[in-house]
Amino acid sequence: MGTLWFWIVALMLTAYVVFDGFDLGVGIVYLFVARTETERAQTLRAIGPVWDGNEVWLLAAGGTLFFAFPLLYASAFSGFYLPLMMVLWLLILRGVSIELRGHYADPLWRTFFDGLFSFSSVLLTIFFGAAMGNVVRGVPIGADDYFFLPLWTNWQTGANPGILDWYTVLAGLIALSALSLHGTLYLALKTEGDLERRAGCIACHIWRATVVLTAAGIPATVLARPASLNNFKGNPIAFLAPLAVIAGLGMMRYTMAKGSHLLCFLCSCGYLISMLVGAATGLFPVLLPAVGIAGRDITIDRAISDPYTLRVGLIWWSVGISLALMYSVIVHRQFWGKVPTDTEGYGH
Amino acid sequence: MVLMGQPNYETETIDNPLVVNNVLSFLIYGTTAAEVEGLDHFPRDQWPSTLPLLFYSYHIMVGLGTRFGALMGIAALLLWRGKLYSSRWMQWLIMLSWPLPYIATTAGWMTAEIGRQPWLVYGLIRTAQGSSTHVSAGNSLFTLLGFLGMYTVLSLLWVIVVYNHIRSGPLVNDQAAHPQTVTT
Repeated sequence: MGTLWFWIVALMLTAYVVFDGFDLGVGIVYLFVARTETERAQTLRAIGPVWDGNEVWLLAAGGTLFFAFPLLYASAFSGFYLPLMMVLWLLILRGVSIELRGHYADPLWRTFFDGLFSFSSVLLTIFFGAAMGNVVRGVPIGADDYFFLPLWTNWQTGANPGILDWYTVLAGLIALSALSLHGTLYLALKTEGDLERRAGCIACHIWRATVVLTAAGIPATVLARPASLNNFKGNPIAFLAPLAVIAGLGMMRYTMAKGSHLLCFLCSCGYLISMLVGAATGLFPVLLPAVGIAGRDITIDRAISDPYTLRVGLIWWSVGISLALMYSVIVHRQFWGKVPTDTEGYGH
Repeated sequence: MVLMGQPNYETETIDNPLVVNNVLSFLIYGTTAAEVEGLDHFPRDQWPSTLPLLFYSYHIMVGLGTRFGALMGIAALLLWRGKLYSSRWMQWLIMLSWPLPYIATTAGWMTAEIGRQPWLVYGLIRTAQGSSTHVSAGNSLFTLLGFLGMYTVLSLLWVIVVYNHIRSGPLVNDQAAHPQTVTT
């Protein structure tokens, strides 16, 4: 049961990265790709109907953590208190800037909301990447199962890490580059004309950055937490994940050259999924590794809820997630295809 | 049931009460004869710590709610009689009511949050046991200030949006029929 819930949470976080990833990515490249007012309105309309639905996956993953692994939830939400609050602020600012932009006619206000949208998207992506880095690297869990991380210490991994060190910053940069690629490809898929061409052009450059950062990231993970390799050593089949990462990157390049935006975007989804599956495989069965004191890892067995909770939860989780999936499918079908260019503004 | 009054913490009574007998019993149990267990039946260490605030917020919430009900009832009556659009006193009353829902929901929220003290989860965890031991007061203060600032900015933005909407006036009829063509 614990293993099942581990992979359920991993699946939900992966869904979050794949779905909300593209609208975060659109936010990152927004100022460079969309230059005129029409293009900006078009860009916002490309993500307008779906961005808030995509964020459901983050909330749902948090909720699932809360009931399946209460110890992990309590420990991590207390330990990452400050960065989580900042993520919350950034999520608020980002949502507000998308929604309020259309209500202000003045160009100065619009520029302000454009900047806020892009700024919060960039920071959120770096934060999410760094969060992933923290989970992979481990945190100084104390004897009472709690910890508190300062934002930075000496930028080194080891017994006394901060939220930001060389490894988590690298993870943040990988996220920044991978998601901006993801978002640019989505934009190329959803728009036409200058916007589509410019997005395709920028995607080529970001692809190169993503390849370099990914190539640095995999050995860096082994350096930051050598135990990540254990599951791979015992289970050669797990090497499929890093292979799929490489294949995804290669296929992206190939489909980009052929000009098929849809296939290229799907390859980007595959790349993100295999990156996250690889990270989850490296962690299993640990949920949050400990550094410093040995044996304080928060594992599935230590953090899991009572069997009754999990049985009831599985039923309600299935109901809830079916509804969320149905909504996602309906809204993506409804807005399938290129964004029309004839109407003005992001609709209300 | 006490409609209005001032709670006195020392004597555990309510000063100058305006009482309607047996109503609370009827509201809770559906009969005028049942006995409603008062706070004096519970040990002091399980009392909410800010009783007067709780008393007032609860009465503000319920009082405003009753007022909304009455106002809407009268307005519906006037609408039915075809007089709503010509009775200026009613329109003034309705227009001046705009801040009241905000006050009522805030008071209701305070009632819920103060009323459940000292428990986080009734009978299971007390608020004092639920606080994070590793998050320092400075961190909490920082985020509290952050939220204050955030909400101040958001309120200002909201005021500007609402002001602009009011200033531009209601939509003309032919536009209202096709709202999707109206963009900002």
